[in-house]
Amino acid sequence: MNLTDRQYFALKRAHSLTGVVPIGLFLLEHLFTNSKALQGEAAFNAAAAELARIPYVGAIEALGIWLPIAFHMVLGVIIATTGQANLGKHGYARNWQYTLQRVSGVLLVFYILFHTWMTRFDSDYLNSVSAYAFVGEQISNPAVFAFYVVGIVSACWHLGNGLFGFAIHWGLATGRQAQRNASRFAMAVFLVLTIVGLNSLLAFAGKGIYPDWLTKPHGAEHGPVVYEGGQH
Amino acid sequence: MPRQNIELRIRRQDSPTGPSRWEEFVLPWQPSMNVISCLMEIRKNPVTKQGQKTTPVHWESSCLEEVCGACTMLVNGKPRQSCTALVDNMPDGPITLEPLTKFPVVRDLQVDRKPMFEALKIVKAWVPIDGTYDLGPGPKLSQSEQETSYAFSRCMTCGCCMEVCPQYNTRSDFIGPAPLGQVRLFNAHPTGRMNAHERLDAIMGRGGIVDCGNAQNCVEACPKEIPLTEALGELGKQTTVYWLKNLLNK
Repeated sequence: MNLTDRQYFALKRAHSLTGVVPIGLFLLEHLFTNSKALQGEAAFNAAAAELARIPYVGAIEALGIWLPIAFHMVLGVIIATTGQANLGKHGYARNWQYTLQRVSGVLLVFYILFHTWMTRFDSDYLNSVSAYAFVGEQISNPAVFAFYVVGIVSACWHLGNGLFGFAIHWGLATGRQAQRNASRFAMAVFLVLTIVGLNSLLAFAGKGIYPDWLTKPHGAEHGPVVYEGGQH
Repeated sequence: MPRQNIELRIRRQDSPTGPSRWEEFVLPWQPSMNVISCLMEIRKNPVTKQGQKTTPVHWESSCLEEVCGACTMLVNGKPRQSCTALVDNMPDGPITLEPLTKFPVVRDLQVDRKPMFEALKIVKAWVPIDGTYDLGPGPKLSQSEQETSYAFSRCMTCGCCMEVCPQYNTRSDFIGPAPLGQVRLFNAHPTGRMNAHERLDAIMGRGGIVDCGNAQNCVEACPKEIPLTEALGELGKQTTVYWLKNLLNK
């Protein structure tokens, strides 16, 4: 492809931007909805049904999720092929993070294709009565469960560590201390999202950790809202 | 206790395109030796550890005080200047010497660092002052600006940062950290700043600042402790602002 210098620059910056908005935002929303599974089958199914009722959902899904992810994926794989990993010779912490960013990205290509197929296009899924039960059934297979764990950890890492790259690419963190802070923030995002993500995965297996002290609104008498028959 | 003998394992290569081979040498320890004085000892009597006669090992060096960058090579796998690689500071066992891997080998331990110098031309790493009349003295720099700029001015284009950069390789057009550090230096110079946009234009294409992968190995490897990653962040900011200004104003 023949690109002018400025187009090349714009494409690379678009790659950096799409990783945060909308893909990063979408991951936050996705983990939020998944966490509904902690409140039970009815709550999750109601949340999933509610998402399907968003106005312009088809356009939002295609232009706000699929297109940016496809773009980020294709350019990301091209970027990964231009690197020459040298962890064996220079095992600095940041070099590990650089390498893991590329490894997680490539893993995510496979994971997202699998995950999207199974929980978006597969006819068994589309015809299932309960999305919650369908996912629970899927992850009862240890191999699928393991792949989900890998996918969730990779996604959370790729976004968390990606925020560090974003901060430097766009010049938000220039000084040494600012970059150190950006790195700490990135690792905190990775850890928090990973815990939330894996807990929601466990919730589909009925094993999510959901103690009252963590989940009750502060000062409220009642516990989590109980959803009644939230099919549609 | 100092070692009695110094053992060297050297990667040899007779010509730029020829195959490489390892040769081993043993020489008696002397006080205060560095890698270059070892190589000079070998040159006096080029016989391998196995007793085979060989050609003298070829290397490049000049200043011998770590300011020219010419003698940069891989010492025990790490890129550094061989003049300040003191034998007494190195761990026991043989010392391994190899040419840098990211630059074309000329012979044995000498490489051609021309790609770096070409990159300095691409990014216009200078202050243009040629003209037909005396421009007079330039503006003064504050103390703190001087200190920041001084750090970047210490770059000797030795190539250590390029050697460890995973984005600087034959599959990528990335010009590497060293030339980008010089863009940071000359864009901060009060006279050089007048041509800042030319340097930004030069690094906003293929191989420029957006090809940095933030592995940050460069700053770990730099023997002059140049804050290269701060330069990369600063150039990220300068190019962002310049790019957005162009998008909105053109």
